[in-house]
Amino acid sequence: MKTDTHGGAAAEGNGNNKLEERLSGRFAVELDRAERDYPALREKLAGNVPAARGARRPWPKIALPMTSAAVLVVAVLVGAGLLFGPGMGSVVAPAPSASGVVMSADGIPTQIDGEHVYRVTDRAEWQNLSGSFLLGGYGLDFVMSCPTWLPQPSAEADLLGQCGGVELAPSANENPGSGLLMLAPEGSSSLSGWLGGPAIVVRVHTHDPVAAGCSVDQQAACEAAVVGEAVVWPTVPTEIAGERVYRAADQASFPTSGSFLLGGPFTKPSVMPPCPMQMNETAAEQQLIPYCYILSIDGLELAPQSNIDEPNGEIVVARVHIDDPLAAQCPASDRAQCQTSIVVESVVWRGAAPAAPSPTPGETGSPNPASSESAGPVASTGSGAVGPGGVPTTLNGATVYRASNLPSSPIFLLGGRLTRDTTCAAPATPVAQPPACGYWMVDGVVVGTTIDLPDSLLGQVVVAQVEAGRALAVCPGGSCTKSTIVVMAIVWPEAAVATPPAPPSPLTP
Amino acid sequence: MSALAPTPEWVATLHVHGPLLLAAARAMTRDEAEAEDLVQTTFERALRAAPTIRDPRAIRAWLLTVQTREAVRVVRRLRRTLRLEPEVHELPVGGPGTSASIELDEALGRLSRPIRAAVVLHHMVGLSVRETADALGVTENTAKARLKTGLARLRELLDED
Repeated sequence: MKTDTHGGAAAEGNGNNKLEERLSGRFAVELDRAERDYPALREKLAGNVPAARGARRPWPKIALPMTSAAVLVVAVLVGAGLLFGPGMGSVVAPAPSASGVVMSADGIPTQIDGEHVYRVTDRAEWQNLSGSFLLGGYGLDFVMSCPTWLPQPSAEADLLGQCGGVELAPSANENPGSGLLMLAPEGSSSLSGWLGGPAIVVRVHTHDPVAAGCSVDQQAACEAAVVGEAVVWPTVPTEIAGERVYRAADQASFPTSGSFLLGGPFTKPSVMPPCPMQMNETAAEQQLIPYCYILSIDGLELAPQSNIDEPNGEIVVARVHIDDPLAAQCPASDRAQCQTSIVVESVVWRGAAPAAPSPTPGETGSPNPASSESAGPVASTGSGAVGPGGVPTTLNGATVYRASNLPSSPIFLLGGRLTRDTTCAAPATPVAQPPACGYWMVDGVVVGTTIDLPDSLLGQVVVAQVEAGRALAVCPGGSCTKSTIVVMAIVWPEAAVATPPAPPSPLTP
Repeated sequence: MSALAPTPEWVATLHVHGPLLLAAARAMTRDEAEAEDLVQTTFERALRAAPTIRDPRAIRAWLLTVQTREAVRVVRRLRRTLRLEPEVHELPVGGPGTSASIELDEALGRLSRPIRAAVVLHHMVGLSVRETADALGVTENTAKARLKTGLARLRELLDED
C-alpha cells in the first residue's frame, strides 16, 4: 500500500510488497465489517445502550449538540456515582469543618472555628500580634528578573528574600508585584499549590525567631516578615475510606509501587492550545513530561497523559501513580524525570472550588469611561487590566488581542464584542469557514466557529480562543485559499462558558 | 478552559469517520470490547477538545492520532488491573474466518503495541509515514524503523519470502 518507507534488497522489497498488499487487503475486509457494525455502535453512542459485556462502561449519548453536553454531564454523574458511592467509604477532612467557617461577601472567610481571619489590608491589626493568626487572601507567584543576587545572611534570606516570591493579595484580580503582601521565603512553599487559585486562609506568624539572626539594619524588617505555616482553608481530605491522602509536602514518601491518593487544588492554564508534536522527544517523554502546558495538583506537575479535566482551582483527591511502566522507554537522560512523573488515573473526590468574589466597583472599570460601549461582563479570576470597551487586556498572563492588533501567531486570544455579520448567509459548515461569509464577528473580525455560540452571548464582550489559518474556498474562477479565524472556545467571561464535559471515566474491566 | 457544546456538523463529521476508527481500533487492539471502548474514548476526547482542525482532510489523521495514543494508554491500564498475558488476545468476533486472515491477525497480535500501531496506521489505514509518526508521537525515523521491524517480524511469523 505504501512504498515510501523502505529500501533494502529487491527480494525483501518484493516480500514486503506482497505483505503490504496482504495487510491492505486485510484492512479492506476489516473496514467492510466495520461499516456494517458501526451503525449498531452508533446506536450505542446515541442511545446509551449498555454494552453487551456488563463490566464495561456505557456509551455516552452523542446526538444533538445541545444535548450532548448535558448527557456528558450525566456521564459525569454516573461516573461520580460509581466513584463516590457507598463503596467509596468515609471521607475524613481535617479541621475546620464546613460549619465552622463564616464566609464574607468577598469570598474569604471572616472566621474559622471561632478564630478571626484577618485581611491582608488590615496590617495595622495583625502586624504586632504575638503567636500565629489567620490571614485570608489569594496566593500569587511573583516572579521577577533578578540578575544580581546579593549575598545575604541566611536569616535574611529566609525571611526577606530578594527577588520575587509568594504574595498574598486581597482580591483575585491583583497583578503580582503590585505592592501586595510578600510572604517570607521560609514557609512559603506551603502555599505552592494554591498560587493563582482560589481564595485561601493561611496560618501565619510574624516575629519569627529566625529574625534574631538578621543584621541590625534589617532587624525590623525581619521581625515584620510574615511567615506562612499552612493553608487551613479550603480543606483537603486527609483520608478516604481509610486510605491516606498524600500532599505535596509528602512527596519524599510517595509509594513507588502501586497507586496512591494525592489531594490538593487542581490548577491548569486558562488557555490550553493544541500541543505540537515534539519531534525530538519519544512518545514516552511526551506522555510523562509536561512540555506544552502544566497541570498540577497541590503544586505538583502532572504527566500529560493524566486522566483529569477539572475546573481550575477545584480541590480534588486523585488516584495517581509514579514510576509508570512507560518510563522505561524514556531515554536514559530523562528516565529519572519520567519515573517521578505523577500520572493521574482518576479523580476520586472533588470539593467545590470556593467561588471567586465579584470585583468591587472600580476594580475592573474601563479606563476609558467616555466609551459609549457598556462595561461588559465583570472580569473574573485571572483577568488582568481591562481595556477599551471593557475587554480584558490579559487573561492569566496571556495577551488579549483586538481587531486593531491581530498577531501573526496561529493561536491567540481575541477579545471584543460578539456580533453577527449580517451581510451574508449563515455558514453552511462550521469547518473551514472562510471569512467572506462568516456569521459571527468578534470585535468586528469575521470568524468561523467550531462550537455553538449561544444567542445569549450576542452583543456581549467576550474573549475567544481562536485559531488563524488558511482554508480552501470556492472563488470565482475556481478554488482559492482564504485567511480564516476560527473560534475554538469562549474563555471569558467564565459564566458564558459551559460546564466542561466529563473526562472519560476510568476503565472498569 | 471549557469548550462549548459541539456543533451537529462536528458530531456528524465524527460519525463519518466512525467505521474507519472502529476498523483501526480492532486491528490495533485485537479485542472487540477494547476496540469499542477505544472508539468511544476517541469520540469523547474529540467532543471535549472542541474541534480545532479546519482542514477536513486532517480530521481523519487527527482522530487516528487521538485513538492511537489512547490505545497505548488503555493497554497499560488493562495490564495494571488485569495482568493480561501478552500472548493472550481476543479473536475478533464475527470477523472473516479464512485461515489466511486468522494467520495474519495472529501474527499482527504478536507484534508489540507500538510496532503494531505503526503497521496498522501506515500499511493498513494508509496514513503517510509522517502522519504515522505524528500519530505515534515519534520522529519519522523512529516510525520508519518500527515499520521496518514490523514488516520483518510479520514476514518471519508468516514464513513469507
